[in-house]
Amino acid sequence: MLNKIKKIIKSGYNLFWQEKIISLINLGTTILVTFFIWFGFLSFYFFHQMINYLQQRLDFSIYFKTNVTRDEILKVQKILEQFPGVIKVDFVPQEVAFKKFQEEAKSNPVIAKALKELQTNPLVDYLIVKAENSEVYPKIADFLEKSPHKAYLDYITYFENQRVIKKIISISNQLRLLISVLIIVILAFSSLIIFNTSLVSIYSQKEEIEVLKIIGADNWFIRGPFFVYIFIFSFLGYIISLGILILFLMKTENFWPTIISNFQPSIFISENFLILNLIAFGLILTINLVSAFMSMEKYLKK
Amino acid sequence: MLALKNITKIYSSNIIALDNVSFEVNSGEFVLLIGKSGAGKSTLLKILRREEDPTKGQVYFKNKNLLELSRKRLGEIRRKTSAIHQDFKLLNKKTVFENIAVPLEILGKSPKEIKNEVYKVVEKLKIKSKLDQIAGTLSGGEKQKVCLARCLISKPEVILADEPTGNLDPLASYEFIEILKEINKDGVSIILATHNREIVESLKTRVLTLNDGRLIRDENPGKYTLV
Repeated sequence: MLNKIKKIIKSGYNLFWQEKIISLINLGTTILVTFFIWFGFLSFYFFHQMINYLQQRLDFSIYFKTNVTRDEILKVQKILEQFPGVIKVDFVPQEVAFKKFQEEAKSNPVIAKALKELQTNPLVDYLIVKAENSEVYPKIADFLEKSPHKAYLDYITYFENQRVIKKIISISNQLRLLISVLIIVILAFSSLIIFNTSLVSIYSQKEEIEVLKIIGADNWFIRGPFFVYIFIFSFLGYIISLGILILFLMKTENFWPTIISNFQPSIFISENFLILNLIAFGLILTINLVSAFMSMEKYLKK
Repeated sequence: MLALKNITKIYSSNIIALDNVSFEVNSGEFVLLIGKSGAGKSTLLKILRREEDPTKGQVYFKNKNLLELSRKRLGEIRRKTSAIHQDFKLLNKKTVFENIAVPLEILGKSPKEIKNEVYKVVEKLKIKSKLDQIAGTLSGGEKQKVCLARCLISKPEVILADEPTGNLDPLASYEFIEILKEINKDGVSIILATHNREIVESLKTRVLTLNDGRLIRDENPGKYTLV
């Protein structure tokens, strides 16, 4: 059995060097498909970061009436911190809010002058809520509307931003669907390319398969070297394309954050290096093996 | 040892390649299978190794019905009923050594055992000097000898030869038939399909005649049967 396995591995290795043109085509296909799959991953990451970026820019602030005490506001803060999907709730006292406003108004001389002339702080205390995603905000607004604390509230910016929030939720959902479709299309397209190349590879070896069948070789003795061969070119092709991709991302590292500040592919890849490579290489190997298996079946039936 | 019972083979285009053919071949027999092109000789040999399935009938090797065997068991039977083809069926990009060694590699023999066995066979067939040559570069006669060496290495009980001299010159054909006769003397049954009249006349052995897919004559020296 060991001799047989050694022979199968050796034959697969020899096949790679013996069929140079076919090996080159298979290598090229693997490189191309690897790029497709990584394009799928990076698109997924890009859209994910874009949604996050937009959501972070959403203003969900709760303003309180002037007669509400700070203790009562802090109580509401504590309740909201326990709300499902809420990441954090920041309390902004009216002094801080006023200072911030003054800073922002520096560039506008009319407002700056008006603020100077004003003897009192016109702003109120408020809470800024950050949630995991934009779908949480309507729920918070609904919760506050029905809670006994409703009487404390002056207004919630959600109602002003409601249209924008709803639009973002809708865009997020559409983008998620688009990414899923994109990945399915990429996988289907990659499978087709690999399957066609596999058909050509196996066809070029059909006489050898026929001879081995005539001699009395069992199907695994015939399939084995092809599977070893597939592993060799899949692995080599994958390593080459991964190398090119990493080099490309290193060279363009500073460019990507200019599109969206939180889009940093090299960080995404380094943080998920093992799992992404396992998925990508696993996909390529599986598609290659299944394609070869299917292409070979008709020659093995005799 | 080898028996065909009521074999009929009809191809999808309704062409009848074999029509109710039955015969038996005993251990150590040398049988010639003759008939014009398209008579069904090649189909018959393919059915004997189950490279093709008959439309009707049964094929037995040592009382085992080949049509009921699994693919794995069929491989074993194919190594016992080796085939030689007119177009050699060699692995043309591999060396002579690699070609001859394949049946033993299939059995999982060690490299040392393989080397010993290959050397024994090539010495017997006088092709030792060709061992490192690529099979595709050999002459027709040499290729047929390599093919025969590949058969012999798995110690077959039957050799099925389909027009093995079809691509050989007269001298190489004569030499090849002489080798087959030697192998037959060692107890290996041989079924040789040919339309070379000289071979038929020189061998003086059992002759099966096929015509339009039907076995029309089964002649034995001293024994004559009209089927």
